[in-house]
Amino acid sequence: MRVITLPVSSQVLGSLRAGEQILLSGLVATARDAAHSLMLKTGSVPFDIRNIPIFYMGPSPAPPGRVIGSSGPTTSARMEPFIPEMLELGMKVVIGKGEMSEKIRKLFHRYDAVYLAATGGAGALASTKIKSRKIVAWEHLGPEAVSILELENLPVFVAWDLHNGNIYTGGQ
Amino acid sequence: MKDRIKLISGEEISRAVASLYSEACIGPHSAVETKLKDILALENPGPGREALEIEINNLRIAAETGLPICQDTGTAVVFVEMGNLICIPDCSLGEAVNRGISLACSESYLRSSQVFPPLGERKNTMDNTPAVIHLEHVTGSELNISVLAKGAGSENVSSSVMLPPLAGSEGVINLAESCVRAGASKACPPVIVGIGIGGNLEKSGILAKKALLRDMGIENSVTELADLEKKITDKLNLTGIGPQGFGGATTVMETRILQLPCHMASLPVTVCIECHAHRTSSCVL
Repeated sequence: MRVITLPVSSQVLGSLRAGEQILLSGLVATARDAAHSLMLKTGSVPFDIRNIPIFYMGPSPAPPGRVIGSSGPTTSARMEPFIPEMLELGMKVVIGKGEMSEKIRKLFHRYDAVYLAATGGAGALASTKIKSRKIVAWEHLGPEAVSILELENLPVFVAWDLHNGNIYTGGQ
Repeated sequence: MKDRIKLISGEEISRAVASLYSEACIGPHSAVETKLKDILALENPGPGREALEIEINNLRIAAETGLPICQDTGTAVVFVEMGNLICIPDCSLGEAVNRGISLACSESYLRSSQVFPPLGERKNTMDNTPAVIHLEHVTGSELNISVLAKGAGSENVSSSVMLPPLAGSEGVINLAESCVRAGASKACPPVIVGIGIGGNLEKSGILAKKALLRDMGIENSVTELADLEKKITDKLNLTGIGPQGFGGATTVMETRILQLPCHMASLPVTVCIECHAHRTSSCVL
């Protein structure tokens, strides 16, 4: 299994193939519905969207002695209304779960962006792969606040690659 | 009569609900784990099988660390069967249950996902209350409580429909198939399909959810429904959607149906999709 360290070069991005499981390390930013709405409303993305992938995730509270609580992906399809603008701003990698529409898949392809699927429901396992968490915007949103996470070997699957590969249709 | 009344304090109910909700969210859930391992044995190598392995490992990690299985600790759905000889002298059942949910949320570090009002501000209630409570009044002196932590990923792909009255089992199969084809990959499969047939608009939804509470591997006591369940499970597994939607032999672990009489001009049906983790726990007071 390949270990991919973020930020990822366009060469490495191009080498990913739909259906492949990889271990992801490095920085990602969490954002869900409310944070996306605020990012577009305020016109400010509180992280480097070109180099830091967005992880669609809102954790459970961190118990004492832990960096973060349970941390699995949320349903990506809910973010579809925000995706065209985020791609336009330079988003290259998204981590979420579940199939998104064909329209969005084509848009990812046009912008040379990759969709990675983490395992939905596997939040306890994901929590053990997160080494640090720093809230960077909209703390009042609680689990929906934008935070920067440092991952160490989070298992994810390449859902949509740069070559029209699609895990949801058997990699074709 | 009076000396047969059984008093149960609100505090006792709150403690029981808190334990049930925590246990539902964290586990261990040995029946689910065993079922997922059985399914794993049937899956060919590929991303679907690999995702299933992660799902199984995750259940173990949650039980070992005390972290919730999934960050979405759900809407707390609480089914209560209350014997007619039970009396809660100090508060309402709803107050006792909601105090329990709130307690579990803070003690076990569960995520509060309830927001109000649903339109506009959608401010978090901060303790995951209110629970959705379904009360059945029965004879006897027992208080039977089941808690289901129902995540939004699977709830969002569920559906209630008023079918034509003579749509029959084909109508039910088609509804289940459309829910699973359109939404299963978003619902963290392999899923359980709960189906409520009959009652009316709201009752079919409660039936579908209650159907999910049946123990793993238990056949429906109504032969026709047991056959229909098997037919639906087998048909939906031919879709090849597989674990997490990554392709595979098992998309649906089990189908579970409950039915009630309905109006002669109606056929209310709800299909309630449940994620692979199936976080539920119950007790009797």
